[in-house]
Amino acid sequence: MTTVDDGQAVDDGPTTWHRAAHPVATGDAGLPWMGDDVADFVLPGHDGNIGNVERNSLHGGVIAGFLETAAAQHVEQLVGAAVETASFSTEFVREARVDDLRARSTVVRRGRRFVVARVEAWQDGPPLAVAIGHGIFRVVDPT
Amino acid sequence: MAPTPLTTSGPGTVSDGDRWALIVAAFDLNRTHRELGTTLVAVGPGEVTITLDWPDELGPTTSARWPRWVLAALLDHAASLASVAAAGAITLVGGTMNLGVDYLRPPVAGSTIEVIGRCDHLTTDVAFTTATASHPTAPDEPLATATSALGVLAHRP
Repeated sequence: MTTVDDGQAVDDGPTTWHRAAHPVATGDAGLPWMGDDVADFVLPGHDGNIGNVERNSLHGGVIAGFLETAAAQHVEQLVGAAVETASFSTEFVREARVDDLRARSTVVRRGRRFVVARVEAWQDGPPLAVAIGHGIFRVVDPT
Repeated sequence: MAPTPLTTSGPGTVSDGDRWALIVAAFDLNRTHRELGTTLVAVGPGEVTITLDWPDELGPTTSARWPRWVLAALLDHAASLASVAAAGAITLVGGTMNLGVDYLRPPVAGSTIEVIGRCDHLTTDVAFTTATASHPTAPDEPLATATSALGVLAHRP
């Protein structure tokens, strides 16, 4: 959000809208990375994504939205076309603290009109999943 | 203000005023939706309605779209609040255990999104919910429907 302070524009970071809408594709070195069938993403930890201030935990809706958005971005990159989510399910395995949330998207099946993807998110390494998602994406105007 | 949990023997035993105050307190705990500008519209026994107006920061409606994640965030929030409305206490309802969303049609840029969450069944361990998102101008044309299960943390008296 850009605010004006004493006539100077001050960028105090992305708003909630833009934080959650744009998960960052990333590799192990923190560099953007996206493979064919597997892609890694991160949702940077931020207080604005808290779902319960007393438990200081991330909002489940943000987690679900992050997984869905990450998978959709992966699928769009893979098929080279826009996709719409037909259905997406998320299992919340552990409570997520306010910290970076990493996710790995895997394309399970790539059809001409529909793509099935699975996403797993964690904060303390892959064995300790925070959430697991899977969804069906419709390819808009498949070529 | 810290929420004040109510004690109740189950759905339907809390007055309308207490139920509204309870959901307002639960609503205030969620920083994400406070920042997004989500509004609490109505509260009933095990049922909550929330709305979100188009935020200007997304840009002009001729070129911008609702973010992909917004419906999941709203559906999850409505389901959680509906569970609190049914349980009668914030402290009885834990986190969402699962959330399944079917997307029927994309939301229209510039239009308000309304989500009605209902707690269909409440056991001593699980709150089972459904939620439906639509535009208030077209309530019979849902944008998305969701089912979810939330953990219930303590046995109700």
